[in-house]
Amino acid sequence: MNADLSLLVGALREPSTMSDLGLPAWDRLIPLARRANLLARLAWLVGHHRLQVPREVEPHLRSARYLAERQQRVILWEVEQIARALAPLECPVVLLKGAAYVMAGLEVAGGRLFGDVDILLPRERLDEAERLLRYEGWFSQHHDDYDQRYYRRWMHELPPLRHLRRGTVLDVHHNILPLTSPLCPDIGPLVDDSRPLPAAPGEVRVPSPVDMVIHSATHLFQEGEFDNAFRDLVDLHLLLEEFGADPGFHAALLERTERFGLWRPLYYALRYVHRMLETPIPDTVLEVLYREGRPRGRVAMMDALFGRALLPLYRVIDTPLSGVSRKLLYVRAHRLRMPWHLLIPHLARKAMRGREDAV
Amino acid sequence: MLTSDLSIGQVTALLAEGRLALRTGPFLFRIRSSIPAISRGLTRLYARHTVEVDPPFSDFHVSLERSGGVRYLFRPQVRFLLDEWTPFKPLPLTQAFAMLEWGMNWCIANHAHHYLVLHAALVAKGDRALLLPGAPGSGKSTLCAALVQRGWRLFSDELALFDPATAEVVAVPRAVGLKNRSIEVIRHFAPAARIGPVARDTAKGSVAHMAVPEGQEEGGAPARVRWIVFPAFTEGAEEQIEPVTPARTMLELIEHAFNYSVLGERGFNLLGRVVQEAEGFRCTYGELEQVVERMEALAAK
Amino acid sequence: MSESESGLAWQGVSSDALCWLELGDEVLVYHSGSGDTHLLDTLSASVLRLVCDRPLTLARLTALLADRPGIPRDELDGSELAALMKRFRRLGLVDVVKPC
Repeated sequence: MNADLSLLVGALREPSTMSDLGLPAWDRLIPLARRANLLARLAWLVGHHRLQVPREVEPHLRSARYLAERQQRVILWEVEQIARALAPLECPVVLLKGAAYVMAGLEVAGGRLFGDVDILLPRERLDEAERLLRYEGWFSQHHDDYDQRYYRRWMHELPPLRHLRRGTVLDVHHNILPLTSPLCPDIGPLVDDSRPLPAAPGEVRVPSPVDMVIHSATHLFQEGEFDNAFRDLVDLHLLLEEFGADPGFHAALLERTERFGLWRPLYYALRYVHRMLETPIPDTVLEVLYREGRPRGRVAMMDALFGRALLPLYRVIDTPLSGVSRKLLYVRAHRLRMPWHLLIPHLARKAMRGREDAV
Repeated sequence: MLTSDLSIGQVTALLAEGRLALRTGPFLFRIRSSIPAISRGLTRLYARHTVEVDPPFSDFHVSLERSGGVRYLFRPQVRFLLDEWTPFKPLPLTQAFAMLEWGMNWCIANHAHHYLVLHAALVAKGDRALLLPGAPGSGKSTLCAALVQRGWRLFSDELALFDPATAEVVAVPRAVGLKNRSIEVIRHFAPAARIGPVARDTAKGSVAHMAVPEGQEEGGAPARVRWIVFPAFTEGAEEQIEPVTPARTMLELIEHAFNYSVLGERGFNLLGRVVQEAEGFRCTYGELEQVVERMEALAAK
Repeated sequence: MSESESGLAWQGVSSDALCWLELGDEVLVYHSGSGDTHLLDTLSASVLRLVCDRPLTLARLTALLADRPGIPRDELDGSELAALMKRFRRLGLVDVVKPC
């Protein structure tokens, strides 16, 4: 593993090692962590474990910590506003990803940064939900008819909504995978098994531990967005570490994976998180996933592609193939979401639009 | 070590290898670039600033690169990178040095949340500071340059850094950006001012930078803001100054803050303290000499 | 506000979500939820403080304010108070609740 990346992985896995780092090591670690959206996580770990860091480093950690603290405060408020706006639906509002981690008070929430809030609602209530949200100030940013049709017909979420005054972004999902994906599961069990929260307002709930892991895994390995891939991998690592302490967790995870038919993304998720971050996962679990989920005949190729694409987008770490890997995986991820006859016009349109933007 | 302790050849070579770091106030910027305008600008405008070669730690690692591709042949461009990532669109190569200045400001405004960062010019007499928040076109940079030429201590023409623990302001002495007519106005106002080459046809029009007066490169001791003046330059206007209530001053400062939303309650308490310690004014003016005198009079009270 | 709604009460956000700063006859309030800072006159500030303590109907609120010294009676118009509460609600500072 590249020396800078080992520094970051070491700091995340064994926070106490950070108190032994000299200035030159911090000089390499901070830019990489900042680029990977993980500096606030390091800052949180330093605070949580009361570690000593050099005087020059402390302001950068404090800066990142303030940002994460403020973002989490904003998330709590946004969740309250969303609950209030959607109360007339009288149906469960399931938080996904970061917002769920914060509301459930999980370890992974410590020092996590956010881009937006993700919620999951029943598909048949989406129109009503969108109307209620609009009434409270959330509007779609995609006015383009093509985008609107694309999201509504093929995707598992509405086009992102942005709050008119506060600028916060809300993603409303009705599934964890696009409707066009052959893996798109019946999402009912995720909603049925979601958990109410003592501190959460209204009908707000979070997925069960196994569903949080399954969503994190499918998001990372089916979405094709690798900008935040390493941070997402760290999320997965921390979820597995925390939930794995429960003796029944791994059996429940495998059972759930089978029920949803999501062997492939789970195989990838647990394989790479285990290989790259040494997440403790029982061998028996890895064996079942290998048997059920590996891409026959393509294990070595996928290892090579993911091994590169999952690293932070940072030139010190980039190997000559990293950019190519990310592009290949982007095409792959789209293929998983859409049949080929839809994919080609869509990419062509994206490329054309890219050119228009450039002019 | 000062930049002027190195020859331009040495500066160029060290920049190309990414080994040179420039100190400005509390920040050390390690800069990598093989663009000649960068080494020229540094040796000219930052001659008496502290630099370090291969420092063990730098606050920000930035680079300026020519954009690749065919475009390079007929329309050369420059990109700014922080942590190997480019936060904004490339600019024409002729604006490389201005881009370094904007890029350094961007780093501070976006990543130095251990300070409250305001978009304002800041100058001081001893430990009493004058804050000049203003939108582009308000004339804050011109006024700042003029005051500095009359002996005020330069903190910054763009960024006011408040330490939340003490509510004091910290200097980040950097070349003062002058736009369009301001360049001539300052040349006329203070013929001794050291002004670098003019980059024309930027997004902001013509841009040139005025060097930090000698002896102020280190920034010096922090200060407390005593006067907050919102300048409003209007061609041919009579000079006019009126008080602004502390609460309204604070709301305007929030509008000019880059990271008030990040600091939350800390930012609120800090600015509350600042507006109670300072007097707020709105000042309309059309003549630089008049407003400079008015600021001198404020400070003499 | 219609008569049928007048039975409802207004409840301000939890008081630890707000920071107050009185500067002469102007009051600034920072709301840590939305991150917004609001400029209030002393009357609006008194109203907000009252509904942050406990839920109040408009009638109850008017009565409480009338007892306070220094608040001119003509500013206590019921419809203006209702409009103020609606603005507060839009800013996320208060919500409508059933009176307990």
